Amino acid sequence: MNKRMYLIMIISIPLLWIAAIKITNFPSFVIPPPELVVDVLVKESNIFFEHTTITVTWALMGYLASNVLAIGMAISFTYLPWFESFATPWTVLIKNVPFVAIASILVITMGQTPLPRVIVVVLVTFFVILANVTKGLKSVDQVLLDRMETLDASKWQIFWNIRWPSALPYYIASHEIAFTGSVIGAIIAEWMFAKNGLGYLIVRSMSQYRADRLYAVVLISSALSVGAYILVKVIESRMFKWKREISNGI
Amino acid sequence: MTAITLSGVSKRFDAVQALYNIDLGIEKGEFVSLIGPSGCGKTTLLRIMAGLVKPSEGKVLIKNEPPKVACSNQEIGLAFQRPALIPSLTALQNVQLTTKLTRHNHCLSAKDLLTEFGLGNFIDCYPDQLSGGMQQRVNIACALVHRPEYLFLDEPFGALDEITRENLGIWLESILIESPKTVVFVTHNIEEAIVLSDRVIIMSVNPGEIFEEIKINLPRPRGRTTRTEDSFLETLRHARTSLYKTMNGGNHE
Repeated sequence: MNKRMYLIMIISIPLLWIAAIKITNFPSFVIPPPELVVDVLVKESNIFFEHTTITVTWALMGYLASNVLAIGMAISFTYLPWFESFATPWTVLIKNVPFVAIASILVITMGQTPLPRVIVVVLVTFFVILANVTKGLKSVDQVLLDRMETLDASKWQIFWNIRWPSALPYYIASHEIAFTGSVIGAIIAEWMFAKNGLGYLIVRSMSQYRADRLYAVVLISSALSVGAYILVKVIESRMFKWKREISNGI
Repeated sequence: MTAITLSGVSKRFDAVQALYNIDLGIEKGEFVSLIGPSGCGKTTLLRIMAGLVKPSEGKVLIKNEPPKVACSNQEIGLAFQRPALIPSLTALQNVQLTTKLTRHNHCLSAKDLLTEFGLGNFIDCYPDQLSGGMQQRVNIACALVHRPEYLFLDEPFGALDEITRENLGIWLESILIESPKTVVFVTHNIEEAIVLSDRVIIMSVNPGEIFEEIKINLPRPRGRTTRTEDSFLETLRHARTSLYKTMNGGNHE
């Protein structure tokens, strides 16, 4: 990961922001200057902290559920081909129905409970993890499987020693998209029907013409998503230290 | 004593008759090579012997039992042209994986074996940090560390340069002299087959059948000088002629 490039990006944001204000001449209630947004971030830090905590909590809950479901289903797909044949049309259907429509149905069905929020996060993140883990579990080198078979290895031994290590790089790669997506999913769910969280704060700021607060929420949610991405990259580089050693050695 | 018996083994893949009516007996401790044109079913035959593929007809017995029994007794070692190594594990960890999966306790020490194979300084290297020849030695160590009675090798030196494969051939023979095993070796290289084997099976194509068996009576160990001896060259001429015949429906020309 190129740290310098991230630093350049962080420095560039306020510069581009100021430049946009200068060029467009929009008033501060349309594009608030950075100092105004920082000011509101400090003054209303309690409110932001409270809503951010709620968003992060539900994003993580949904993401956890998504991981458990997707990994379980990917394992089933690998070992039970009939189940994959049966479930694939259903996954295609669910994936292609706009989740905004599904979310509305969920609110009508379940009311103002946290469950629709969790389900929206699952809908946003589940398919990426499922596709990647299934591909990883199935991409095992046949020669390794043959070797395991002649050693009379059990299904569990093959899974744990061969299939899972093969799926791990795919699984970690899926987090790059899905983990950041979980924050976005939670915000969208809150934006549509919640009474708290960053999504709700966006709706409230819009209705009150509070562009300063709206920009503050954008900054927080961007920081969360970028933070999630960086966290995945750090975990990836720790987990695949051997790859670094190989590239250093060649 | 016959260790591996094949009786009337045939294999069909949809419309393709890959193998037809193979009868073969392999003695305990014998080194048998299978050579023949591409598509003659050498690898399929090896996989059938190892219990990885079921024959369409006929049967295979290892010590009078189906190959699956030899697998469940962990008596088979297997190595292919493409090393069956896990990229995230070091050479030592790859070999140790076999011992971890082995239920009996008379495995060799993975570290000692790799040292004996000339890889003492490379045990902590990952497969991608090793040369092709080194990777293949680790691969063969994985196949040998649990001291199997039967070793099935499918073109293990196929992807290597001439000198490296010659060196590895000499190295493999020395290992087998020290610890004899029943070996089935698939190769495209006639010289390699003759230098290593007690018997060379020449197979014909469409369908895969045994065309000729050539007993190799050259004294062991067979070093580099063997390849220049008249008896070797005579055997080579014989094997090559036989191989040409398989491609011309029995005619030499």
